[in-house]
Amino acid sequence: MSDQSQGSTVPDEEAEKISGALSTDDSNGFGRRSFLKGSGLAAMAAGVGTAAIPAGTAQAALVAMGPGPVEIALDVDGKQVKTSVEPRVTLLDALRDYLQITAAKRVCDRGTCGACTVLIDGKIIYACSMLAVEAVGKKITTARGLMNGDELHPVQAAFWEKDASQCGFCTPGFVVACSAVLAKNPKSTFEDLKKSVDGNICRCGTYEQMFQVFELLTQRGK
Amino acid sequence: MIPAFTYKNPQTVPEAVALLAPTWGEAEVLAGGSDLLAAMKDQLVAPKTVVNIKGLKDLSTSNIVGGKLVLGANVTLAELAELAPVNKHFPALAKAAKDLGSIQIRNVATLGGNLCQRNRDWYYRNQLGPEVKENLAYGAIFPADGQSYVHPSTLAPVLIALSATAQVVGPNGAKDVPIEKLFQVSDLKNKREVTLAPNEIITNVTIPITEAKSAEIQVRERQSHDWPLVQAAVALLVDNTGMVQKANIILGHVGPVPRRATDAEKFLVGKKLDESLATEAGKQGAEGAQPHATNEYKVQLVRVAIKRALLSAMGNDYWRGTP
Amino acid sequence: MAVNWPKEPRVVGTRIKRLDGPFKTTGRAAYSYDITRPGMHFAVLLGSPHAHARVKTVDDSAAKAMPGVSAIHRMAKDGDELTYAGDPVLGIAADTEAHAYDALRAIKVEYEILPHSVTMQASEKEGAGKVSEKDDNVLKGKGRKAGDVDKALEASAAKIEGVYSLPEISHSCLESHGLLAEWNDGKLRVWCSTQATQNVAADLAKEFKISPANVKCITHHMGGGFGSKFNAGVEGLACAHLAKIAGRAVRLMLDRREEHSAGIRPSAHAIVAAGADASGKLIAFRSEQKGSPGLGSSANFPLPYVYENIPNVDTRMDSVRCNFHMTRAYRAPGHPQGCFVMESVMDDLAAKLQMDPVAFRRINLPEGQIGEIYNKELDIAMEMFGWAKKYHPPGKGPAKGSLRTGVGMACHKWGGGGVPIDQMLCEIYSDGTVLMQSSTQDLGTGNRTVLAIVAAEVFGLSPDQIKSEVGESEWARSHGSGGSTTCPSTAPASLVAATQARSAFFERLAKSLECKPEDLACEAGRVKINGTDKSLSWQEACQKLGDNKISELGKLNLGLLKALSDQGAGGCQFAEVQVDIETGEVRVIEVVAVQDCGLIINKLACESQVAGGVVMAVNAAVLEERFMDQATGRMLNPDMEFYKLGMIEDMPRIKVHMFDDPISTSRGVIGIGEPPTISTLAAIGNAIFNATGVRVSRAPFTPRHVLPALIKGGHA
Repeated sequence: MSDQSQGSTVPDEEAEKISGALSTDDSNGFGRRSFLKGSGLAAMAAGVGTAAIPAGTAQAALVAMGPGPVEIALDVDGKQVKTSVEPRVTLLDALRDYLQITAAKRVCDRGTCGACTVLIDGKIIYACSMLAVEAVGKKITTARGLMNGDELHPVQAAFWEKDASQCGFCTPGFVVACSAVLAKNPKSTFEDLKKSVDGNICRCGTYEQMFQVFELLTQRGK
Repeated sequence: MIPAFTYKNPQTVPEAVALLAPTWGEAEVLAGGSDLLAAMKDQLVAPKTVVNIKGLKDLSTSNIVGGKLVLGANVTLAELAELAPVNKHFPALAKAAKDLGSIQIRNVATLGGNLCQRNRDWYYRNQLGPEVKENLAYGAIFPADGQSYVHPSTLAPVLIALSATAQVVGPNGAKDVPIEKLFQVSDLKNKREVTLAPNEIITNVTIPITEAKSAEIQVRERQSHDWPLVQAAVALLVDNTGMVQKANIILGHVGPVPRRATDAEKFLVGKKLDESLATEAGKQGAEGAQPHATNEYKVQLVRVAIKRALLSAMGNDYWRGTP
Repeated sequence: MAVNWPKEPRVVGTRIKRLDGPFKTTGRAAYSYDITRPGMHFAVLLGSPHAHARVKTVDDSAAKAMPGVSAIHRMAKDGDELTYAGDPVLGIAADTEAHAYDALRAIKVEYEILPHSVTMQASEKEGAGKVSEKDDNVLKGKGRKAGDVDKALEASAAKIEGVYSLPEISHSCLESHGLLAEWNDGKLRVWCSTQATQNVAADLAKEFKISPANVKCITHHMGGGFGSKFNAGVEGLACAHLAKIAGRAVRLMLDRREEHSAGIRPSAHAIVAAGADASGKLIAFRSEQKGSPGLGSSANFPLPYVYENIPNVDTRMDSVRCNFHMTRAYRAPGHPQGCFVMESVMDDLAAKLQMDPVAFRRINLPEGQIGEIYNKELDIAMEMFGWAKKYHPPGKGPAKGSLRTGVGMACHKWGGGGVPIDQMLCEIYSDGTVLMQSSTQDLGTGNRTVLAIVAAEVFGLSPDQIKSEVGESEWARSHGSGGSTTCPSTAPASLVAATQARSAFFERLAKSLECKPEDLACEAGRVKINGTDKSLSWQEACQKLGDNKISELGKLNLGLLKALSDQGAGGCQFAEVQVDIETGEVRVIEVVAVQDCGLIINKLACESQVAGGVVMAVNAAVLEERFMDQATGRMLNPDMEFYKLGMIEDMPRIKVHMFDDPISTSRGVIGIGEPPTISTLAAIGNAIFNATGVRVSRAPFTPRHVLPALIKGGHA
């Protein structure tokens, strides 16, 4: 089957949206600049007194920001992406609404459900409970970034194989959480893997399929 | 959605303290963020300034100094749960840290933040202030000063049982405050759950290393990522004949501040701990409860939690059928 | 054309990985919530803080002047009645969500507060104010009366009286309700989180009085509906208005608090008296039932349930309206409630009769084919579960410390079946592409994959060679995905379309291959000419189409549906629980589910549906409850913190058996969404009874409800 994000089951506009989001190149047909222009954020981005924070800048350099928008660069899924956000914008909202990186989902928005789980420097966090400005200089990985080129991460492949995804809205969060434990210890036990996703909620109820995923992953580890 | 604020990133404790204001509401301290961001989203607080203290590096270390474990306030709960001296000397604290929230929470939430978090009472969180609160299913059975919320920290009861002390720094310098004295009944307006002044921060927590046996019990609805219905933390000094010399029994999630079960503590001293004694101590610990019609069940849970924590400290997890 | 399911299917009924798995597991699947359009603005709603009020005045002058605000749309006019906390007054669109909320905070609304009731107790109290201008607070439902219950109860060898109740619960879809609306030259396009693309398009056309031909609803992926997403909803209509006013694309998705007002499952409360004769036959059943549908009109739940052949019956049902949002269909409407009450009664009676609960049910199962299916399912479930070994009389089970283990079971039923309006497009292109396309949506059930499986069967290909497109209202006609009617409609429609397309393909091929169409067959990726050893690869065969594709629209009708699908599924579930008798904590250890759904299309997805249904009901059994505060009229837990859904540590292992006996599979496709979520809660309740000897008659089975029952029963 073709890539639904780029292919024919998704209208061209959506494919554009996605390629635009993953690109830092404003020359792209629908890159960030045109998005800003359209959305009215351009005015903010160009506004007076915005402080620029390049990615990799140590937090030490930051003294005061806001309340107006500040330009930030984030390292997401191995790419440098830039946007302009007020300090009050969460990392989750910055990813989704400012950068169109939507693998992490907004569900409870209060640090309970796990749908927004991303890796920050290899550790899982709830992106709804961190400010975007706090993530500057850190390596952010979403479920999308776990892929190796076009290849699925072993956790993603196992979730697919065992059908541990129905509506799929929670799935990226589960996958990221599970992958973090495996990255730390490739010989993780069934119990380790079970605990790894214990901050995530699946409403369709794919937990039994996840148990089977963990069985599969631990068998492979042996 | 969070109201706009200025974000500040001090590098030293004095800088941080200087950025805070002498009255509540002006500035808020951002540590792990899991509590503050939610509180701002729910408009419980709308600070003009948010002071991120994660840059205060010396707050992230932990050391053993003179027979005491000193834990930096910025130590995350994930780190706390894994620290060797915590697991060795304070298994109850390690357990409470491991049982707290989820991995995602523990990776960011800090020790200091846990102690300073706001309560989760649903009338408060939803900004509802009826005269009569109809439903306190998860509320206090030892209400105080007209407040029926429960203190949310699950580390606090354990730290109090372990006789821990917090170092608090404000404009006038540092002072030591026993964790037990760190909490007060909030009026949910200008008086917070902590006794800190608005421009003070916790910089570290010190726990004396003793021979005390500690244990912690939570009764929960959800095994995953949930608040306890009732929590009991105990630390026992027991002589080599099995006689209790000193008992600290602290209850969590029963009232607006962690509650010391004083009568039960006194009752145990000089006695040999067994199941019937623990049962009796549990009963005494629940004496004086003033449950609401919707939370009477918590009284029985207090009895059981105390009994289990006491026996568990002695290595008896009878309820699992493994005495 | 006579179309029939293949006697020996190659793909149908096997385990096929869902086609969109690689997109869902990597976060690449784009949901409505994920879509951003050029220049798009964000919208939020201002809801009433009061459960019942009238709008007096609204002052939006300050908000209009706030930075970034592009549109304000009044949803309630001055003088309009608002009937639940959160009932929207207006919507605001702005360039950022933060700006939209800033503006929302600047709106001043004056309300005239009206009396409200958010509990049944308050609503049915004498002198209670009306919850809305329309209709009375208590709506009397139809009951059923047969025979003489009093007399039969007197004559019963065993009788019980009990009160059983379940609270209202929320759908809690992870992707909240909402849509993205974009106008272009008077045409409206929306990306909506819905389980009925065609309804949403129709709703919007009506709202704006434009031709349905000018509205398009797109739902390629959606994050859960469970019955609550059949229409555009007030939020969807508001978003389209805002987009029109703002002159740009606008996205409005409910926040979590609002999502709790976007549909509920009605509560259920029943006072029951029932009796059985000495042989174990039910002879008397009386129930006084009520439940709250919120502002909806019916909280009905079926009683007696499954075991309905009772000579003396007297049932009554009141729906008690309250000031929370209306009922929206909730997976298997009414059945889990009816099942919980009935199956609790069954176990209580079995205990009185000192009979094995399964044996007692067998005596009372319906007769005929469905009874035969139930009995076979029970045999399988007992074996899988180890019932003979695990069952013990109530309260007499294995004890370890304060932990008591118990087992329970329950049976359920559902209708399902296809809807004769569905259509399906099947196209074959010269490059070998086979396209299956329909406006139906995939809620996560695996419907997208169903189309491909059926096509693969017909064309001798594998499902991943089929291009399956679902979820745009302009595509081939479909109906809303509800009531377990999707697969029994789309699978037959796919079969009809693919079979037609294959015939058309063979007609064309026969000309160029100089053979008869009936000599051609699809097999293992090739097109064979029967009676020769000649064959073409699929690609070679398709090349012969040149620029002229095959395009066939398969249409269902009653006759085809009768041949290819059926209604009426049954199933049973067995649960093992552990109860801590000192604390009232309940752990569900294992659930065995045996389920009939007629012909199975994708065994893997069917098993997922069943296990998922079980999980949904485990949540309802041990955690879920909406707490409504009468004094304030508000929900106290409109979140995911105190509105608790289980996570993995709370979950049992689930063994699923798809009942694939020919007695069932020969009936055609039936549908699987609802049935597996019906009997779990009842089975868990019965297992608690079995573990402790105490009936906990109110869910959720948390310490708050279990402990008082245990204390009353002499435990703890």
